[in-house]
Amino acid sequence: MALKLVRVDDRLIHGQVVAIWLKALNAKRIVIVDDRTARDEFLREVITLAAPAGVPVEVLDVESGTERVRSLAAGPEPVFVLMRSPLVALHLREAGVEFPLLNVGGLGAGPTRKPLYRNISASPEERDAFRKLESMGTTVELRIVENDRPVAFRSVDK
Amino acid sequence: MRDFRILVAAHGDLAGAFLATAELICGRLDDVQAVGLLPTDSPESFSERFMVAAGDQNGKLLILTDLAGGTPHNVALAATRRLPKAVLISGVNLAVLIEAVTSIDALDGESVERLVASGRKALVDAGQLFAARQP
Repeated sequence: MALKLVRVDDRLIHGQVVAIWLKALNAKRIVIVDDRTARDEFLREVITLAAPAGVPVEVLDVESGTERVRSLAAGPEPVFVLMRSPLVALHLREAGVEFPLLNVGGLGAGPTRKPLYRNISASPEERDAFRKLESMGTTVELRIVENDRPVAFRSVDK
Repeated sequence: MRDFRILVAAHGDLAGAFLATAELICGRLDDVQAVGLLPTDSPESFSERFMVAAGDQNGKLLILTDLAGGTPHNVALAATRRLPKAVLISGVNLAVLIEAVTSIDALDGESVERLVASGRKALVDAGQLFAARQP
């Protein structure tokens, strides 16, 4: 299992990811699955520049990203997968890419989102995606940085 | 008199604290703005406040961010697409901000280089400086 962590974080690559998670996971590659970033050359460059030197970053749309993550999951290299939306995680899972854990570390407030836990908010559609992932055998945990205590989505989904 | 405005963008209370502290040293700074990333922010909500603080999109603007690769910086860098006369420097420290408000009049290449140099020069191992002075 070379997918060290699959994380939902609307900030994608940023301080917590670089300073804490990358080191804790010892991941050697970052794969971002996000249509908007993948299709905007400038945003792609901005987010790639946010990663530390020496860690390759791939930014892919959902379609090609699904296949790329599937093949990386079978390889030896430790990979960190990032996405902005739980819907992408569900898409990957429904396409047959298996991961036992989904980490949720950043979903900011938005017009359709309601607070879920600490600073993590989710829309009804996003909550549904988490529930479906859980029913498919992927545990959804809310954990912002590595040394936080993980909180089960189930325990805050009311 | 400088012909540009300054916007400090940083995590949490840091941006406001930079501005307040610079004002403590330099006096009131009406053309310096601060915008902080709140724990509840999404990149979009922060970006909205950032653009309001940036003001006139065609104005000359010096953006100072706290950490390259952090969300305030990433959002600021993405926003420069809409701010054609903006210059962005990451890794702001108090020395850079004071240099910017006291010694720089224009945002030309030479001034920007001088700003970056002032920030680097401010980062020193005091023990080594002290040792160098001992006979």
